[in-house]
Amino acid sequence: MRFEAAGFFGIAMGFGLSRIGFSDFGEVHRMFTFQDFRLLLTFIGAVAAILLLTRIAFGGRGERRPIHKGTAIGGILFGIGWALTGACPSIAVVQLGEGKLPALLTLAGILAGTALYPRVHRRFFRWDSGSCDS
Amino acid sequence: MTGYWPWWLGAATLSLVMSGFHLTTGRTLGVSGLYARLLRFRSERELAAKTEALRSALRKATMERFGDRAVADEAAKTTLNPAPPLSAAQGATFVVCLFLGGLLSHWLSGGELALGLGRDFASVVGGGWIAASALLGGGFLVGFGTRMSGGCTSGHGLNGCGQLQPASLVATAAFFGAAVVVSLLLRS
Repeated sequence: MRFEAAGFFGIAMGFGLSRIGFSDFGEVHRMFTFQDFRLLLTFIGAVAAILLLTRIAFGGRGERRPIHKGTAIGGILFGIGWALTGACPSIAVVQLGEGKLPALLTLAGILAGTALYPRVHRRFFRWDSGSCDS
Repeated sequence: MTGYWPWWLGAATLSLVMSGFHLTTGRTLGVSGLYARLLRFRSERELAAKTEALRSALRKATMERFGDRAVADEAAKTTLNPAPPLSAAQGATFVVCLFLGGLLSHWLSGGELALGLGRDFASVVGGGWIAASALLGGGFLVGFGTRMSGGCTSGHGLNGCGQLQPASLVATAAFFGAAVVVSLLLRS
């Protein structure tokens, strides 16, 4: 059941993100510079619909996401990277599916950052991130 | 490619994907977290084996001391616990299918391989070595930042905000705000 769900929703999300234009650097750049509000509306509309659906199906519950020193700083680093590459983690993979070869560099960078973070955290940060993830 | 979906169709698709995933797996989807799990699948497998060995030893000892009924009660209780995270194989399935979804969309619109990210990328960021280092360095910031922050656009931005979780609202404001500032600087 979980394999089927991962496969089905993986394809649906990859196809959807591509058709929405979230994997198009220009579209994402125009969202961040407020030249075009379509993607921003897509995002806000999706959050509103998820809010409603989660209320109906789960009473608004999901895994708790802990708040700590890294929440905002990490978010800022992520935002800088997203503006430079036009890619958040799933988008790099969708772009590769779309035959955009430079996304290989983006994905390599993402995987390197993902692999390095836990080491840096243990060595320098060491705050409680509320999970054994890092 | 022109003619992207209108906002309501995109919003409906994304929300149905997220809610459908949550309903069928019992977990909310977070792509950066999946990458992290995939990268450490070996140590995770070792940990899972040790946990299972400990659990079966405890179960055996409990059965010897208290009889089979105690273990039946434990099984009934554990089903109430939240669903475990996706295994590495399930996560890999998701990522491969994410790729296939992009491929399908591109193939249906008669796509070809592209050596660049498009005209907009070339004019906003640049080309050659500048583009390559922006992608590699920017990608590194995406990977490092999402793990530091505990989520990305899917985990914090869509699902976490959809549950009004404080951490996700803070993280989303931070990454969106930073991306706006950098994009405006790149444009000028």
